[in-house]
Formats: sequence, C-alpha cells, structure tokens
Amino acid sequence: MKMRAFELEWAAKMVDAMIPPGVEEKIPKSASETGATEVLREMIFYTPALTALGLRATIWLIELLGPMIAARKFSRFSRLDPSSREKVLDAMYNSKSYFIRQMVLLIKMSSCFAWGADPEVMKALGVEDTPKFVKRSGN
Amino acid sequence: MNSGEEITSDRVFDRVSKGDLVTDADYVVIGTGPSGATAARVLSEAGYEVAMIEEGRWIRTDEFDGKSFSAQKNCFREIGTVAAIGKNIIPVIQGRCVGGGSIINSAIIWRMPHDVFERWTSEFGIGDALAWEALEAAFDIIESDLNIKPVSEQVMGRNSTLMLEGANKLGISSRVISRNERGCQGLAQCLTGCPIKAKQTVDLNYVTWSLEKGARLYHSCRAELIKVKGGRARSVIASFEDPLTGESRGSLIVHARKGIVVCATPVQTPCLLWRSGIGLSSGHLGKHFFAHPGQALICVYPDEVRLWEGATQGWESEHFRKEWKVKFETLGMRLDLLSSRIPGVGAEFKKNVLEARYMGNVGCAVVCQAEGKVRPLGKRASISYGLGKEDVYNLRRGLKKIAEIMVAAGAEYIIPNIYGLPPKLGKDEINKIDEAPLDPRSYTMIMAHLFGTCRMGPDPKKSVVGTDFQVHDTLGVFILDSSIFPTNLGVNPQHTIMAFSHVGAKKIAHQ
Repeated sequence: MKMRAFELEWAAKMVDAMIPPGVEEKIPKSASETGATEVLREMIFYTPALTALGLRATIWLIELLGPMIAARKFSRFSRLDPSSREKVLDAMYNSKSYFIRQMVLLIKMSSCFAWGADPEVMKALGVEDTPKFVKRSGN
Repeated sequence: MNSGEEITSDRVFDRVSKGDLVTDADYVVIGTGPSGATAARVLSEAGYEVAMIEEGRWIRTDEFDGKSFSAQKNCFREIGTVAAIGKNIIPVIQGRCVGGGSIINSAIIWRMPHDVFERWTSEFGIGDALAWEALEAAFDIIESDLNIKPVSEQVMGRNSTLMLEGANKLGISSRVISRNERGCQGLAQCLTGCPIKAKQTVDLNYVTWSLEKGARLYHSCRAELIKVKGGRARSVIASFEDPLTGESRGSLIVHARKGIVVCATPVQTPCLLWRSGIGLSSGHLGKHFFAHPGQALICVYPDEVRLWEGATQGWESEHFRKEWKVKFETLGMRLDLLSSRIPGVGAEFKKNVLEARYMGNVGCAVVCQAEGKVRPLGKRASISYGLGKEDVYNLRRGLKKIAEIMVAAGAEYIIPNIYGLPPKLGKDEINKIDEAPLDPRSYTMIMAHLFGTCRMGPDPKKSVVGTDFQVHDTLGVFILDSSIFPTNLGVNPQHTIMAFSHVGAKKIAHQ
C-alpha cells in the first residue's frame, strides 16, 4: 500500500515529535533526519493489506484526532507547533486507552529503527561496530 | 556453499522463467527452519531424493547489516508485524527465510526437560512416538553438529556478567547459556542475522549438507496446497514469489513419491493443512496453541554495560520455571531496538537515551497456561491468544525477581515499561512492581516460542498427528515441527524441535 505525499508529511511531523531536532547537544538529529519516515513508508508498503491499513489508519487517527483525544484541542496534529505536537504525543503515550498507547508505540518504534541505527547517533552514544573487547584481543 | 552465497547451484531455485515447474521427489519437506532442515538432512542422508520448499529467501551473509529494520524486511514474516490478538496485542516473531528461526534467534540450546517429557508421555502418550533414549541420542548428534558450547568469558558481555553476580548473591541458581556457535565475537547481532557466520544457523549446515547429498531447494516459494488423492497426499502446489513484494515468479508442482513432511511452524502448518482439507477430522486442528510470551526489564547501572557488546544472550535462570512458570534471560541489543524501549517522548526521550550505555536488559519468558488458536485468514493466519490472570501474575512476579537480581548486581534504578507504574523505579522502590495491574494490556510483550495447533497423540479423536508423526486422517503427510507439541516446553525450543524432527525423520526413513 503506497502512502501519499501528504501522509508522509504528517508522518514526518509525528516522528519528529517523538524524536525532535536539537534538545541534547550530543544528539541533535531528529527522527526524520535519519530516515524514520521512510521506515514507516516501507512498513506500509510491504506489509499485507490488512496490516498496512491498520498502520495507515494510525497515522490518520493521530493527525485528525490526536489533539482532540490528548488535549481537547480542535486542530490537526500537523498544524500544531512542534512543542504542542510533542505534548499531544506524550499525552497519547501515557493514555489510559491501550489502543491509543499502541498507536504511539508504532510511531516510536519506527522512529527508533531509523534514529537508533544512524551512524552519527550511534557514535554520539558510544556504540561502535566492533566491541572494545574484540579490538583488544585482536580478533 | 553457505548462507546463499552460491545460490547459482543447479539444485537451488527461486523462480521459473516460463510456465510451471513440475518435478518429483521421494519426500517434499516444507520449511527450512530447524525442524525442516533436520528432516531434510536425515532423509537425504538415508538416500532419499528430497525437495525442500521455503517461503522466504536465502539471505546472503553480507545482507546482515546489524540493523533491525533491514532484518525485519529480509528475514521476518510480514516484516515482524505478525501478532497474536487477545485482550492485548503480542507481536509474534517468526523467521521467514532459509534457516527460519535459527537466523534470528540467539542460538540458545536447551535439552528438553525430563519432567516435561514425562508429562507428555503420561498425559498425551508421546512416549509411543519416541523414547527418551532416542531423544538423548539425537541431542548428542545435534550438539556435535552445531558445536554447542557455553558462552565464553571473553564475549559474555557486562549485562550477563552482572546478572550472574547478582543471582549468586541472592542464591538463585543460574548459568551461562549454551549456544550453537563457532567463533562468536560478541557483536550482539544474533537477532538481526550473524554477519560473521559464527552462529551455526541451520542453513550453514543441515540445509547445505542436504544439498550436498542431492536434495533440491526451492526458496522464495510458498507452499499453497497439498493435493490428496485416495486418502493419500500426492503432491505440493507452490508459488514462487518475491517474499517482500509478493511479485509472482511462476508455479511449482512437486509430486511426492513417498511423503510430504510439513515443518512450517505452529502458525503456518495448521493453515496449510486447513487449506488442503487435511487433519480436520479430529476437530483439534489449529487448537491448543501455546507460547512463551515475555517482557524485558531495563535497569541502569552506575558503570557502562554497553548492551551492544557481548553475546546477545549470555545468562539464564530457570530457578523459578517449575514453581512460577518463568525463565529469565539477559538480552543484549543494538541501539535501534533498545531505544524504542527507553521511556519518554520528545525531549524527555532524548534525555533518557543518553544513559543507554549504562543500561542492562533482562527478559522474563512465561510458560503460559493460556491456550490460543490459529486459523487461516486468506494467505495469512489469524492467531487468537488471551493471557489469563495467572499468567500475568507469573510475569509480574518474574519481573520483580529480575529487578531484585539487578539491584543485587548494583543497578541504581529500574525501567519497568509497565503501564500504571512510574517510568523509573529507584532501587528502594521495586516492591511497587507487586502493585502493577494484572491486565495484560499494561505490559509490552513479545512471543517467539510457539507450540501446538497439530498436537500429537495416539487417539485420532483427541489429536491431529499420530505417534508415527503422520496426520491421522491422511496418509503420507508427516508433521515434524513444534506444532505436534501438546503443551509448551518451558525452555528455549530449537534443540527439542530439532531432536523431535531427527527422531521423526529417522522413523519415516525406516518405514
């Protein structure tokens, strides 16, 4: 199932609310800068139709109903300022509703798949390709 | 020939250029995971002509880049989105590639506990199918073939070392995990495919050895149907398709002269039988689905742990297996997997993730009493599975015990990832885990060990498969994967699955 350009724009704002640019000097990259939107696109493209529909519906629900559910705000998620988007996602992440929490977990997982595999992020957090003890032993 | 490097072999096929490929073999083995690879190896060594059919691709070693999402696209069924649905949604991790689950598991090797065998014998009549001595002989062979040995001190990793120390302090029995590996460097990449061929996955040995004995492999090829005529299975109808895109690459028909051996996992095996009208007479097909769902607990130590260094899984404790139905295992991982388990959104997440290198991670697998069922849903499967309160209670007390071991090992705080508890618990607050809800929706679980759905037994009214490993109602269809297990196992199943397959395939070969 192919995502449309506007859905990808919505998704980019969601993953960047999850992992925003800046904040910590060591790890300035945001999720979308590391390809998290592409992870979501590929998931929806390659999973079977029923699953893809569920994933796509998650993006629509967060975009259209997220602010309403989380903050009683009549607005679209993508039209909020970055700080409000983060607050909405945080409220959904801690929601009493299991399904709402699961929706945000999907965004978090997709974000982390890309962000946590980014070479600059990994280096900043001390992740090396070869473990120190392997280097020490000369293997 | 190994791990897909020489896929140009004249016995390995992933497509047909024109029309249908029609062929025949003595035995058709469906699935090339630990059970299918073992069956193919035993049957081809016995001199039979074997055709292996595998839905997934043969992944080249250089495709294992250590990234979780790459692995999910290449090796996991439905990119890792398969889930068991009940009160909560539990992702079901299933390999779909040549080598199956062995490509994406942590190579943990456990002989079947004798108490489980005794129960299966007394309650389900499994002793008629195989003797304990035969199983032990199979374990010996597999352990020699796959180079089973405990994780070496050099690659143990800090996470496992600390848990070993913590458990010793509390008098909890635990041990270094035994694994099928040769030359592990502690890259913590078992879950995404070993990039240095240290993990002895079954594509490197049993699949390759079967090919060397003359077997053929049809990969990226999905078994659609088993054709039955006169009460006997005659052939397998399959389709070549790109496992990721589903693009069609032609059809395959294999006529089986002697039999069809299904090793497609407890999710896919019952669906294939169902679509083929096989095994339905007992009314038990797809039922009695068991699993070991689990959840991991993260902690933060004062010194660096570096979960991405060391054996993926190096320490385990089955101290509470019989009484509490839980087993503990350390679980190392790369940052892309770990970070999704670190609490927080936005700035809070970024602050928390700075502590990643100090984090330890330990999983609690539950030997659940819950029984689910599997049904075909178009080309896919639907898995219904609901945890009972007792199962969640066991998970909760298992997690609490892990927290105690972590604290004994020096952890400063715990990240429980349980809804209803604070995101972080100080070392003096771990008793709060006892107050966590017994609602499965409060937990973030996954499941990887699957059992049942075509259970074995002597009575055709109570079981799908007989003690000769043959489906009761159809001649020539044999099931050798963990679908035939009547309950869950309580320990990591690869070794037992391979041993059952070994004994079963020997029986079939000597028919």
